[in-house]
Amino acid sequence: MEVVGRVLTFNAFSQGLMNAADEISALVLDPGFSTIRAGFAGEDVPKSVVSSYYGVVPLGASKTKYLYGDNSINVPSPRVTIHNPMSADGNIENWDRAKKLWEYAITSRLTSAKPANPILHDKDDKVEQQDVEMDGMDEQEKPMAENPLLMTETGWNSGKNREKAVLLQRELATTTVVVMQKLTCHSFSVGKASALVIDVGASSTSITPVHDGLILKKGIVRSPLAGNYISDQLRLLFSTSSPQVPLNPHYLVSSKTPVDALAPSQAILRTFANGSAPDVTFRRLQEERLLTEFKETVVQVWPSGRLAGHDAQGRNNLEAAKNTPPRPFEMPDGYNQAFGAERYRAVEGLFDPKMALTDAAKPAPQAGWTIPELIKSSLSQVDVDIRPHLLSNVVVVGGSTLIHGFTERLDNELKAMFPGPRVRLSAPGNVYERKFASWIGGSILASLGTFHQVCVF
Amino acid sequence: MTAADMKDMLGELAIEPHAPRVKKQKVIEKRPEGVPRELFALFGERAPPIAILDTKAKERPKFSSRQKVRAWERKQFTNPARDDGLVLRHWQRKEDTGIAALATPADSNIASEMDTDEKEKDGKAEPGYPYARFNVKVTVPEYSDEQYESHLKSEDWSKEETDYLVSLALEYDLRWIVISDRYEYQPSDLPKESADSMSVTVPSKDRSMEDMKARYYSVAAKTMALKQPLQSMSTTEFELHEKMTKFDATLETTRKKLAQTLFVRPLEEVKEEEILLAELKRIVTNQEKFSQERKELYDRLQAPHSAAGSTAMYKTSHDLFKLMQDLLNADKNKKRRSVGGPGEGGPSMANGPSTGASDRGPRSSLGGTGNDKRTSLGGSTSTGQKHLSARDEAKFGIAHLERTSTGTTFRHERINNLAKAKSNALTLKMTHALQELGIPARLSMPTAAVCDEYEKLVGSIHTLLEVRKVSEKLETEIKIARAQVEEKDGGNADANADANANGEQGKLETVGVGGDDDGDEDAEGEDDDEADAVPERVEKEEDDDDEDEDGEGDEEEEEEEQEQEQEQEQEEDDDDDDEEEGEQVQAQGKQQAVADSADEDADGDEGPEEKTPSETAATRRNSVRKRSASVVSHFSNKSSKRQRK
Repeated sequence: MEVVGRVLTFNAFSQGLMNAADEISALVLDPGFSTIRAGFAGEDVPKSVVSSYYGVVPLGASKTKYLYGDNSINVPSPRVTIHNPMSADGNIENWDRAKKLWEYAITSRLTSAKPANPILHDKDDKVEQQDVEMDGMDEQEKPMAENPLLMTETGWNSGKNREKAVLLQRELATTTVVVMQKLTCHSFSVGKASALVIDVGASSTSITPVHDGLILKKGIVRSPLAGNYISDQLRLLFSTSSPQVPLNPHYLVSSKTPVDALAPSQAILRTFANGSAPDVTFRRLQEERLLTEFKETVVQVWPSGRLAGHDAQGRNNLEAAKNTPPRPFEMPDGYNQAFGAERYRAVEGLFDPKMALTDAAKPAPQAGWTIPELIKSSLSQVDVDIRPHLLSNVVVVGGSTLIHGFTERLDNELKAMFPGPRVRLSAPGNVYERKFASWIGGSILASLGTFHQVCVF
Repeated sequence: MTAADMKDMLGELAIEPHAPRVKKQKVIEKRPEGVPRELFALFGERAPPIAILDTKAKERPKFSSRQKVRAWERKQFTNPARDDGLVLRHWQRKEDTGIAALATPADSNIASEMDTDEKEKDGKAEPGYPYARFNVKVTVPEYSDEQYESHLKSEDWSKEETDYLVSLALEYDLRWIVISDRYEYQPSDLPKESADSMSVTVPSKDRSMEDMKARYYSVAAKTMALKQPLQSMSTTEFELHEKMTKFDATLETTRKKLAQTLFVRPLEEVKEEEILLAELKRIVTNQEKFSQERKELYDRLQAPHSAAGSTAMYKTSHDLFKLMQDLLNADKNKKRRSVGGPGEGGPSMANGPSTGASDRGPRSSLGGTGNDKRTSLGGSTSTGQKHLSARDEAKFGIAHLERTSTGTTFRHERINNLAKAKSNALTLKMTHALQELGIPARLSMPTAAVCDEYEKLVGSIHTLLEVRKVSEKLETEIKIARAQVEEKDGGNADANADANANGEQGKLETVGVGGDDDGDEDAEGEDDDEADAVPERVEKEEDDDDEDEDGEGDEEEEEEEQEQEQEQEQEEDDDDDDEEEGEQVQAQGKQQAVADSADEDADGDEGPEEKTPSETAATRRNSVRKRSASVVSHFSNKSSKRQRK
């Protein structure tokens, strides 16, 4: 089977053909470390956004129950463990589960479920089907057969993985599969065929130069400093601050009474019967949800210059940060605190490794991992002729870029680093467009009359 | 005449009378929907205080054409640009135009047979998927093994690597940036790793983009030349070939190095450049401003009238119309001002007598100038208004002009115009006269007074010249009459005595003849220097006569001037006055003799001279001849004619 590899000629773009769309009801699947996005091509937001995590509930000696979807994995089932089929670098490790997750993402919202294949399906799947209510399907009906599928992949995906992904899609019984590079989709989502895509996701940050819709492989650089790193920084911040900030997820709190700021919480925590408590991975997932809320509401990036540095008037930025009005946050157990300068610290490590919070287990990140350094090394790998063009088309996507002040800071950093060429950031203002940029790009591509016919499904 | 001109003309004419009507129509507001006409009429011209809203429920949209709903269907189709015969489905209109018309049901056989190139050629003609024609591929050089061996061999590049390069060029449509990015050639002799190798392997040779370009272009150029000799290439092909053969990898590398240094410039350099650019911009704008100002200044100094007088800007009727409008507006403005003038002047007049005598002078003089100008512009009389004394007026340079020319003029222009007479001859005479008076062509101090005097002087010179002309005519008449009388009395009278008696007359006669000549604008008399001298000298007597007879020289100025003239001439001529008089006498005698013999010999120039009776005259003839030859001939002619009469 021939796998994706042919060049796509996007002549429709270059010729200014406005109405180049030809709907073939293609499905677009964009799996990420945190969420899986799925939807029909031509729509502006994915209809189905499900968590990439799945739950495993042991039901006895040989039986296991798998939980997919936000509704089921967040329930503190007894002895539930939470897993992610993806590795930290965005590639798929557990293909079986990934397949199930994708199937769930598509069939739970978009189409009806795929009929059970008696040969392929094992007992586990039967259990799973009960959970997501996939029973009662007509054996003969193959609803997804009519929908070609476009799937995104990371730019550093290996050919082997890619082939496997295609095989998997065949099993999902879609007629055709195209694997598109995620970062190309990013750039298309903002309407640019050439761009420098800065994607700060959950597990990794990647910088990818895209030229004429084709990623430049040599220019791809990545670092693990992304959303999950910020969460770790926050954990460190909470544990080292005095008083220590308790991190009790919602499911642990059965009742609480309001307390003053910085006062210890007065909450009754939930207790589980011996042996029926959820796994630590479950707690971690729930903590992650809490921290996501914290990141969305409190955490900020110091917008101008380094936090450790000085501003134009020679004042210490850290002092200035302390003078900004603090932001209050209340934990699920009632503990509340107004976060002042420390709320800037958690993200500063993405730009300045010296300012990162460290302890014995978590050393400071490498100097080359920060976003400005990544951009620098990425640009040094591409031809000098297109560098200025790339710098004037910097596309910022990914959920972690939604942290307050992120684009402003990035703009300042880039302008300080490249004073000569014109630097222009284009970050979608819409939250959904920023979070689901790769899916939207795939949606655009898959609905083009030129694209879906020319490239190999 | 073009249609635009016609439209221009008609447009102005047509629009002009209608313009106010259109304005009126605008005032009338449109009746809003749903307001009865009668109710709206009650509003008058004022809009209702409250907006009248149409409270009527929205009507159902009218579907005027109750056509059948166009049917769409979900159809299978294949893309001829694909070679795998993939069947996809999309919605299309049933048996209709657009995409559906071109798309055909799945026919994978045709699709697979079709070459993409053929698709390109007859994209529309053949039924197929409309977007298939966007599947364009570049043409890459093709070569056989033999061709490669004979022409394309290179020590640096193996055939396999060249093939790989060409395939990449085809795959990535010659996007060199992508090609150099994806270039991962593995020599075949090296053990290749499995499928995973793609991302892991490192190219054996680190080829730069320039290396690849150089190799590809050389191969492409050579195959191009092999396929078609240079001579038979079309221009575009040849240009392409030239471009490819002239590609210089080292030059390109240097250029990229330069671009790199430009890219990583430090902040200081960037700022410096910005400052320099701003400075440059400032200098350029200053320069432009300065040159424009200088140009304006030159325009004002050099050709004040050329711009105003040029008709280049009034070529079309529209422009002329505009000019007329402008002039009318200017007139209106002037009138308005003249109306306002006395009103403005009123209070100052009323205050005038009451104010003290000390400060009254300057202020009233200022007011006076204003009033004068206004009145003169408006053409109204200013008799009732108070005036300065003549001395003050002169002091403040106030001029009362009968009529003013439009715009400003220079005084010296007026003077130049004055010095020019109707004819060239007259002008020459005038300049001579002025030269004699020692007045330069361009006055050194052309103040108002001097100009006025100059004007008067020129006027009197004019009069003088005219009077002289008249007197000369009269003299001639007298002379002829006398000659006739003498003829009757007896032609044998003593010539000498006669000459003595009529000495003065004789002089006048010659002059008279000369004057006649001048009057006829005959250049003969003036070309000859000596002939000129004669009339000048005689002027004094003539002038005396004129004053006595005609009394025309009533102006003091003229008299003075004439006196001056006379004095000058007398001084000049005193020395040889006697002698010349004698000459003239001789000449006169001779002429009379000529007149005598005119009967016999009507038009002979030589004849009269030969027949001259007096010997003295004959001896002097040579000296005088030059001076009077022409005069004589004319005289003789004329006198003979008159005699015939």
